[in-house]
Parts: sequence; structure tokens; C-alpha cells
Amino acid sequence: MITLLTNKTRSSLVNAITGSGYALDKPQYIAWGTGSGTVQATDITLFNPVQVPVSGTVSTLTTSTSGDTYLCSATLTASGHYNITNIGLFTTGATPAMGTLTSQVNPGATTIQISGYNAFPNTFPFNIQVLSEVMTVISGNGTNTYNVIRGVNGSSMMTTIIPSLTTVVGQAGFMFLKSSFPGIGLQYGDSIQFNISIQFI
Amino acid sequence: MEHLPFRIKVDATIIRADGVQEILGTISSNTIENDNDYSTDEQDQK
Repeated sequence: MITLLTNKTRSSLVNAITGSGYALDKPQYIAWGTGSGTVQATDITLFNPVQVPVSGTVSTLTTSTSGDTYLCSATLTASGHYNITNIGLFTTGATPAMGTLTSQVNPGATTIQISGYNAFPNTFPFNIQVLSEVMTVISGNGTNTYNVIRGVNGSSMMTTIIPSLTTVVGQAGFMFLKSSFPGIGLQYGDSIQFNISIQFI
Repeated sequence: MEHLPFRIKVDATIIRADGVQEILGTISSNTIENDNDYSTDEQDQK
């Protein structure tokens, strides 16, 4: 159970230090998910995201030295019965497209078949995440099949079969950081107030 | 010992639909690997 800055966040922070420019919008949207997995810096989305991201309140705090801490606070309310296992901090409040594999994907395969085709962009390329592997969709047949480049964004290509019915998640905005934790059981109407802080030391 | 340049913490409080609050404290960070239970701020300082 860990919290990681994503790889693009890391390089953008280095760019800020080197004077190459910080290109990211302010991270202020918190979204949650119910899937399982090991958080990777190469992730572009949550494990099985649910509901719409919530715009949080961003502030600058002093923890040890003046203005050394970023804080984003948001309260998310469950619209159903969920076991929340991960959250992400995003630069936009967009909801990611989601679908499922309708057939297994073999190691090295560059064609995938999915349900929910129309939920994804109709222009190419765009990225999707399946388990911990990020793929770039480079073309599609208009109904249920994508041609993909496997293992992009620094992620590792799965060396085992990805089973049918595995969730496919699109990229919605940019995920600044991702955090996993033991599942938190919620009923309809329950809320969680999250405070995500980053203190530079 | 490696000195991390920043600390990330995710603190959480559950607010049940009936208004009851459950303070979970820090549920994840970049410096600790939580086990199967939630840690408190005090435990995080170990």
C-alpha cells in the first residue's frame, strides 16, 4: 500500500528545477477506484475507477518551513456499495472511458477485442491501461477491435495471458499521483474526506 | 539511510450516512508500506 508520483509528474518537477518549465495543470481533482493492483509510477489511471472525480480545495501550508506543503482536500460520497482501494489526484475532472476485454490477450499480441468500444475516443492514438500495462491504441475497426502497442509509458508488457473480462480503462486527464490502501467499505451515502499532502523537505 | 525529498500522505476520515465520523488517519504514504490495518499518525512516526 503505497503512494507514488507518476512518471510524468516526476519529470515535470525536474523540469521546474532545471528551468525547462513546469507543464502540468494544477492537480485538484480526486477520484477513487475499487480494483486491486500494485501502484506503479507508469500508471495512467486508477484500478477500476468509479464515479466522477471531485474537485478539491488546494492550499499551501507551512509544515516545517514557510510554504513547504501542498494540500488538496475533497470529500467523496458513495453512490452505492463500494470497497474503495485506491485514489488518484488528477488535473482534470473528466471521467475515464471503460470497457472490458471480450477475449483473452496473449503475450505479445497486438490486437485486443473489447466491449464499450464507443466509450473510447474515435481518433487515434490514445492510451489505455489493462491491469498494470499501458497500451497505445493506434487504430480500430469501428466496433470492437483495437490495434495496440504494448507496454508503453514505461510499463511492462504482461508476460502472461490477460484474461477475458479484464477491465480496460482509458486516460482521462493526467494523473499526478496514485495511492493504494486496504479496502474501505462504504454504503450508499457514506463519504470519505481525503487530505492529500505533499511536504518538501 | 536515504533521505526522501518530500513526504506524501493521504489522510482519510469516513463520514457515514448517519453522520458518524471514523478517523482513519494516514492510510497511505510514499514512506511507509501499510499492512492490513490503518495506521495512526503516531504509528507512522515509528
